[in-house]
This record gives sequence, C-alpha cells and structure tokens, in this order.
Amino acid sequence: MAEAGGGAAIDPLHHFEVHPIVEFHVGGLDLSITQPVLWMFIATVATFGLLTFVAATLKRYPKGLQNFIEMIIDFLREELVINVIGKEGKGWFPLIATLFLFILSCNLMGLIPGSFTPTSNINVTAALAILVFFCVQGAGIRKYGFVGYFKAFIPSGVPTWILPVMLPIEFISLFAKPFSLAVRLFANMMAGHMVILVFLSMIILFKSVFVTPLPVIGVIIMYAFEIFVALIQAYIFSVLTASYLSDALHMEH
Amino acid sequence: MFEADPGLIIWTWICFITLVGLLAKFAYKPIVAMIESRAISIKEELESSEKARQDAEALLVQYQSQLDEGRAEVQKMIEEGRSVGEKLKREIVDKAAEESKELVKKAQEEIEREKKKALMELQEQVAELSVQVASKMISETLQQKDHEKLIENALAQVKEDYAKTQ
Repeated sequence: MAEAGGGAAIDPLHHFEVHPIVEFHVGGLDLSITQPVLWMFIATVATFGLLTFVAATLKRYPKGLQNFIEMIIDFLREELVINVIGKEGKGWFPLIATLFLFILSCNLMGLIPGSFTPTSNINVTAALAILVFFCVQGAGIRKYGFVGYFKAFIPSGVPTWILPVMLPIEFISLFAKPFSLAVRLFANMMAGHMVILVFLSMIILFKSVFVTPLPVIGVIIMYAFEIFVALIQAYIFSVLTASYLSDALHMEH
Repeated sequence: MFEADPGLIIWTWICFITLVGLLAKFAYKPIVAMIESRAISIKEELESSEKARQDAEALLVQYQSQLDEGRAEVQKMIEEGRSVGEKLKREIVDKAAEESKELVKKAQEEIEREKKKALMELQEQVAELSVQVASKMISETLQQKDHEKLIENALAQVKEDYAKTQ
C-alpha cells in the first residue's frame, strides 16, 4: 500500500510479512531461511547457551544467574509438572519446560528493535500446538491403549441417544484445544507488536514535535507490558499443555 | 501472515525438538539433580540438627537433675555432720564434767583416808608413849620431881609429835 512517510496510511501489518533471507529448497518444499526462522535460531541458541552455561558451572551454593535459572526450573518442575500432572508427569518435564523457555525466548526476541517475533507467526505457534496435540494423544494411548483411550471419551452410563450429540462435541473439543493454543499465542504476540507499531506510525502520521511525546510514552508503556505478556503467554502455553497431558493421563475422572 | 508455510512449520519442529533433546541432556538433568541433592542434604542437615538439639536438651535435663541430686546430698551431709558434731561435743563435755567430779571425789576420799591414818598413827604413838611412861614409872623409883619432869617431857614429846602431824 502506501510507503512509509507517504502521509496517507502506514500498514502495520507490513512488519509481519515474511521474506526469505536465504533461499533453500528441498524437493518441492520451501525451506528458505526467513526472518522468523532466523530469529528462532537465535532464540534456540540463546536458550541452549544460557542453560548449558548454568548447568556446566553448577555450584552447590547458588547465586545470581544460577539461582535465577534454578528458580525457573524448580518452578516449572514443581508447579507445572508435578502439581498439575502428578508424579507420573516427571517424564514430560523436558517437553513442558522447553515449551516455556522456547516460547519465552521467542517472545522476548521480538523486543529487540529490528527483529521479528517468531511467535507472532501462526505457523510457528501452530507447529508447537500440533506437536503438543500429538504428545497428548500419544501419552493417553500409551497409558490406556488405542481403544481404551478413545473409549474413555464416552463416559460410562451415558444414554445411547445422546451419543450423536456428544461425540461431535468431544471431537471438536479435541481439536479446539491445540487450535486455541496456537491462536492465543500468535494473536497476543502479534497484537502487542501491532500496538507498538501503531504508536510509532503516529509519530510519522502527525508530523508534529508536540504530539510526538505521547506516542513515545505509549510505546514505552507497551514495551514494559510486552515483557509481561511474553512471560504470561509462555506460562499459559506450558501450563495448558501440562493440563491437557494431565487430562489424557487421568481419563478415569 | 495467515498463509500456511510448511517450511516454517518444519523449521519450528527442528528447532524445538533439537532444543528439547539438548536441554534434557545438558541442562535439565544436571540442574534437577543438583536441586534434588541439595534438597536432600538440607533435609538431612535439618533433621540432624533437630536431633542434636533434642540430645542436648535431654543432656541438659540429665545434668540438671544430677546437679540437684548432688546439691541435696551435700546438704544432707552437712546436716549429718553438724548433728554428729553436736552430739560428740555434748558427749565430750558430759564426760569431762563427770571425770572432774570423780577426781574431786577421789581426792577428797584420799584426804579423808590420810587424815584418818594420821590420827590412828597418833593414837598409836600416844599409847606407846603412855606405855613407855608407865614402864619407866614402874621400873624406876622416881622422885616427885622426876615424875613431874618425866610427865612434862612426855607431854612435850606428844605436843611436838602432834605439831608435826598437823
């Protein structure tokens, strides 16, 4: 649409367009390195680097960074895994903890000026949600068997005539869970950035020194709020994953 | 933005699954092990310190009771010693008083006996002298003057002897 500084309109969605940085094709598949892929790499490497650094320099009497990381790990293990799923959920700790840390670092990447938030793209959040979906079904099937797991969707003692209504609802809710996971994270991350971008566009639109402080203050507030949202959304994604796993592992209820 | 991007999905999976594997091996395992071992050691330390505290308290109670016992015993000993000393003192004083009385009595008896003895001796001497005088008067014919002289002599002799015994 209009070019930046054109005066008429600035499209904040322009920021979210994906462009390949390195073209890369395997067969018919486009595996080009785009901005989200690049920033996802950075987030992955940063997370891995930070955690392995802490793990490699573990001290019996922790302080500073080790204390902080241990607090997060312990919180994820105690509050998200053991409290929500129970003792048998310990095996799922790496998945849930990594979901939290990966999403958090991807979200925080977006706060670097000139970066691209990987989690503001639906494909990234959908990929994570699909992964969670398969893990949840896998966990249920492994515990109750293929037939037993899907039989548990129909509670015993339900009258037969209600089944035609119930089964579609159960089926929809099965897929609504990952869908809501993906959309919630994506929408939150995109909306926050969009608000920042709109504030910044105002500076250009109004072309006035007197109005400028307002959007600047708005951007600063939104930035602080975005840090909070980044944390909250990562937490929500991982706590919901834990709760879905818990549901799949406790079908008798 | 909303269009499906299979490449991005695959990259996400690659990144995420790799990260899960790497973190599980290199980060979570050591960190969780450290947290757990620390929690165990803290628990053990707390338990052992609690045990030490209880032991110390028990010991304190024991020492306290021992101290009380000892104090009571000492008190008893002092009491006993005092009463024994008192008794002894009384006994000694009584005995001493009795002995002194006895001694005085003995001495008086002795004096009495000596006195009697002396008197008896005196009587004997007087009798002897009387006999001598009588025999002298009988054996010799004496003149009046001689008689008087003899009697005077004899009396003087008696007086002298008596003075000696007194």
